[in-house]
Amino acid sequence: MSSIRRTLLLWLSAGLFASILGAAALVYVQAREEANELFDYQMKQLAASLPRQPFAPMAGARTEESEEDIVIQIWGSSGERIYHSHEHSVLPQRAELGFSNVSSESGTWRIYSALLGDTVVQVAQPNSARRDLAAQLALNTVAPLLLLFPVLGALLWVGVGRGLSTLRRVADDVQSRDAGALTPISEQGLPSEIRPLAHALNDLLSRLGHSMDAQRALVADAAHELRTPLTALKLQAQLAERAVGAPEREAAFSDLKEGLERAIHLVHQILTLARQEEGALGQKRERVDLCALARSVVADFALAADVKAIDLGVQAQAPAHVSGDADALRILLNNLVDNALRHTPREGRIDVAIEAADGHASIIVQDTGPGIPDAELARVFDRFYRGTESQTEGSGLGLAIVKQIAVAHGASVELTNIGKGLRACVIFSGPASKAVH
Amino acid sequence: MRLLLVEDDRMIGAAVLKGLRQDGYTVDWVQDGGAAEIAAGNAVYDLVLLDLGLPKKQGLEVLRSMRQRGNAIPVLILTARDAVSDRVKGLDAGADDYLVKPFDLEELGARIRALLRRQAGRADPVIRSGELTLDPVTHEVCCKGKPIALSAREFALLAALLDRPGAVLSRGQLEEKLYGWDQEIESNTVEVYIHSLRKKLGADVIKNVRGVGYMVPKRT
Repeated sequence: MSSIRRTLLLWLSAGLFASILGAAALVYVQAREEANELFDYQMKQLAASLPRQPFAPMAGARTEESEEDIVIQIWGSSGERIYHSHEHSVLPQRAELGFSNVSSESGTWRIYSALLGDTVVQVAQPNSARRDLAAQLALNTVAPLLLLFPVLGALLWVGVGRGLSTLRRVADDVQSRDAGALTPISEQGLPSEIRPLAHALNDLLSRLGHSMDAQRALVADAAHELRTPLTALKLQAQLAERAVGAPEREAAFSDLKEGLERAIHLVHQILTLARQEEGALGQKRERVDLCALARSVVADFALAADVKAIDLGVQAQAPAHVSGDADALRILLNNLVDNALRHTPREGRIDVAIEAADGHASIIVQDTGPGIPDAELARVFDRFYRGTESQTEGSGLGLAIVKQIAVAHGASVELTNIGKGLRACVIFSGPASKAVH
Repeated sequence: MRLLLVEDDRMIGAAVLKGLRQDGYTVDWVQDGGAAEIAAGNAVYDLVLLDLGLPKKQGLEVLRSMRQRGNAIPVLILTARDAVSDRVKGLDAGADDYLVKPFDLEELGARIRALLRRQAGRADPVIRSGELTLDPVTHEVCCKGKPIALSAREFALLAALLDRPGAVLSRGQLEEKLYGWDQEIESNTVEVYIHSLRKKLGADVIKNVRGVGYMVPKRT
């Protein structure tokens, strides 16, 4: 599990460590430069302080290697070595005047050669001495900084803990809720880093609440609406029970079956509505040929239309395709045609048409029924709304389902009373529709 | 007994109509609030069965306007609205009883009988007049303890007369109790049924008030 504390600690430690390293390197470089200048000056002084008269050649130098890391050699004018401080000299026989660097088996040496009278004085010092000094200096400077690690860790631990305590409060708030409590989390006093999270959570809670309310309302409405067909069923069953004689019983059972059909239809419509609820459409998008759909739906209803002697057919068939859920669109058209069939009197006419204009495909179902009073046109899309003039027994859900499916497809539904009859028009628009000419 | 059924649902209406007719009631059925108001204005009904969710005019409005006009016939509300507040509203609007859908035909019958009994000012479920008893539940009529077989119409006619002992009912009023809108009234049938009832129960059970109508004398 990732922890903000641990991550912060890790990153800050790494950063601090790198900074300390960088500081050490910087101090080292600077110290070396200073040491160089200092030692160079010292070497110069040393050379200058040597006697200005010729040395007598010496019998021998000190054989023991001294701690002294400065080596001195003096050469006569004829090129003979007059003096050397160390037996095993590393210094070259000849050297240019001034400062130079020479590398030997024992490391690099800094050499200062100066002409004193007719003798050449060479003062040399190993570079390692200067490096050691610089390193020591750098280490001494930087070491106290290492103390920062525990201090920083402790501060971070406490600070982050305090910062995150509000998060804990939010978590407790969310945890203490039951499934029904969707009141927003208080965003007051939350640090700005956590506020977006709380905000997003509140947003989700509110959408969840809306969705739950819609579901609850649907369930309540559905339960209420189911009472009517169930009441009829109960009464019809009791009448069937009471029926005496075969013909009466037969009639009672026929009524009972009709009542059952109605209850089944209502349950089916409620289920369809629940399935088509917002978001249920999901990613089920495919290319749907509206003309093929219209022909297929009309064919399905041909028999029912024939029973009522209604002339049902497909009129215009502009080639039109939309991107959507084929099953849902079939339900949409089914409901429109079913509605038209229910409300159109015998020997009426129902036309289904597919039109494509300005890149907008549309499905049109026009009947020769009584239409819908203008005052009710807006309300007929409400769930379980049945027209006051309506004489037929629908679930009151057909148009609600049509609307829901249309909206999910970015389409609009228009109902208009045209002369004698109702014209239902589903117009697809936006990116969901694509008419192919 | 003639009842007015106000119910917009075709199946429920048909079933209640059938069930009540089997119980021997004369029932008229209207399917919207407007028709209900007009029909209830007719004084022929003994009781109104009222649905609340009605086309054209809501059931509660029908009820209120009935009561405002001084119409006192018992009203039994039949509705799917089961919330306590709905029941309170219904009863306070002037209803006498409230039955929630889905209901039982038997219960509906019992509640109708109870309301009719109260309306007639009786507490005894069995109607008694002298040595005559009529049980509205079992449709049993006994005279001096002996059961007497009556046809449905004879029973309905006797029940109508026994409902208000001492009150004279005209032939027209009796016909209204016997026939709904959709039933054709046969001529002289009331006289035929009265004659047959007298034969079965004894001539003095139903009195003829010449030129006015018929009555069952008040007896204890």
